Amino acid sequence: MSPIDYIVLFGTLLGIAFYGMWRTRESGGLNSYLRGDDSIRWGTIGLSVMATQASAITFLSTPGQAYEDGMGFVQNYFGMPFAIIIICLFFIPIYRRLKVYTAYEYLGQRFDAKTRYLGATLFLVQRGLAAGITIYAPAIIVSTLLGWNLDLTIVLIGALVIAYTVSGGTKAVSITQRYQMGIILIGMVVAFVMILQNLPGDVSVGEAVAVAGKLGKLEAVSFSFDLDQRYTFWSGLFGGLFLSLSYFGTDQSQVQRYLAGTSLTASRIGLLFNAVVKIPMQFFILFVGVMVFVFYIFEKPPVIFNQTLLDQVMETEQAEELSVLVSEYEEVARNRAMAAKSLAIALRNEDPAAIEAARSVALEWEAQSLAKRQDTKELVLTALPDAEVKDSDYVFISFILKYLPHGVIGLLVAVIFAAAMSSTASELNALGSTTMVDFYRRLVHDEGSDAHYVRVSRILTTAWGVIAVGFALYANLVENLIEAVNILGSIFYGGILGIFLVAFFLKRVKGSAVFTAAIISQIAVLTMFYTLEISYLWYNLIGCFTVISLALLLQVTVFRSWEEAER
Amino acid sequence: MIQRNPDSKSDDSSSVNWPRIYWLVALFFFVQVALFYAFTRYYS
Repeated sequence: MSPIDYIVLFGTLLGIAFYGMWRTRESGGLNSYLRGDDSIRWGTIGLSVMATQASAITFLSTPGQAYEDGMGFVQNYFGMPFAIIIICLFFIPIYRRLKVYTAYEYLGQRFDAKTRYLGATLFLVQRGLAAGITIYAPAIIVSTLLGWNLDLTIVLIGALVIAYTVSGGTKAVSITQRYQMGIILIGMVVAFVMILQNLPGDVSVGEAVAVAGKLGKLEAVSFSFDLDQRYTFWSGLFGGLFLSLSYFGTDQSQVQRYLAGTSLTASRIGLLFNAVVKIPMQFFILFVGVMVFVFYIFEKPPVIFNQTLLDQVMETEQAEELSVLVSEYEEVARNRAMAAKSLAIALRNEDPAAIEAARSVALEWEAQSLAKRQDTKELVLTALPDAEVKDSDYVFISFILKYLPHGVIGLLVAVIFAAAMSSTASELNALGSTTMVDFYRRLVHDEGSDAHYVRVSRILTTAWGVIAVGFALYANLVENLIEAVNILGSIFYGGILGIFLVAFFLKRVKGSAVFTAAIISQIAVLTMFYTLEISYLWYNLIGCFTVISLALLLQVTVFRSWEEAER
Repeated sequence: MIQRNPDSKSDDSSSVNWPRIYWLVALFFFVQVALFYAFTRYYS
């Protein structure tokens, strides 16, 4: 990166953070700190919800995902619009009518204190760990490629987020997210235009897209019922529905965003904005990834996108073997480029027989290219047994650093860190609020002044920020940490959603039944996790259905007789 | 006891035709899926 990149990067990140602090410099009461004084308009809510969901890894991983597997990942979001409609219909009106600060406060009003503590605890454990990963994941990738000090990167980003989140609370988080999301969207559009400009001169954009299509990268929708297929319309619609219901409806980092709205209408429209915009946005980011794929078909791609790994292997006994593999890969990549050019010419001439013939040749070279990449990854593992060879997260950022002009590089690195900061800010804001409202105010000090609670909220938000940064600093000591946190999320998410669905839709079920059901369900899910070999995403559904059915069963059997005896 | 800001605006949602908005959002989703499917078929 050049000085101009650093100016753009630091100017953007610091400018937004200080603007957020300046706009919220006059501290208000607790309602102002936790709910932004109910003064946030729908447009800001919409961008804030979007910025909370889109972490840095979204912008690093999604193009890489498209590079490897094509556009099918967009289907993962198909359940989201329906989940948001359900939340607008049932969740938001109740949250607003009861004037709650956190989603778990509602559980306390609907059931009892123990169910509220259970919901809040599950959230704190899961989101507390995730906040560390939100900072760590982009820091490790960017610092690896740019040779930055990882610890310093984590501490700097963490300190900046803590500063404005603690200083201005929910309002500062929403205001900064509006600008962070603006930078992210501008950055992605600039990247897209730059990729198109970098395509070879003798291949038009239309031909480049058509080549990607013929190589199977543009299959956005599949109605297949094949369970082995990773992304289909059905898995996206039903799996995505449960995941989004749980995330947008019960996760305080999201609930806090739309509860800050000026009115019920602002909260609903802000959330519905995401139901409309999110899928096209994901489609666009995936399409950027496909264009990077097309670019690398014509331009020689690296055999592995994490260049640092290759440099490390070159210092081991496997160096010679690696050199041979790299030159073999380059030969395959040259042949693949020629085959793709022939395919583009055949497409231009609209000759079906020539298109089919060129396509088979291009696919053959594509398969060989994948095989060489796989051989190289295995060699890296022989040389460095602990190395992470999955390099899809490095595809987009290494393209940016190598091929885009100075200034734009700074902007796009700012995009990645702005995304990390916007998600982390919501998480810290929600963690601090939940600890204060659901635990401190209930268990420690229930008659404090507004100023006292704001002070405690600030201390707790800082504490969660320090925990997140500390966790991020030690994250590299735990193997497969990101996956571990995702698994943890799936294990807890289903249970939390189950509790909330019972609260909203099964009025007969009372606190003790749902609490017992949630505990049994959590034990069952954990046992299944350790004994069965199914995809962890299924635990969302299993946890949710177990809580609902058990709560119903317990209510009509054990707890009905208890209630009758009490009467 | 903490009170929310008493000056916060009252909800004005009754003037909005929400069922129509929800139907439009759902319709937009299906139009998108149809377009994505057409896109998939066109480029396969």
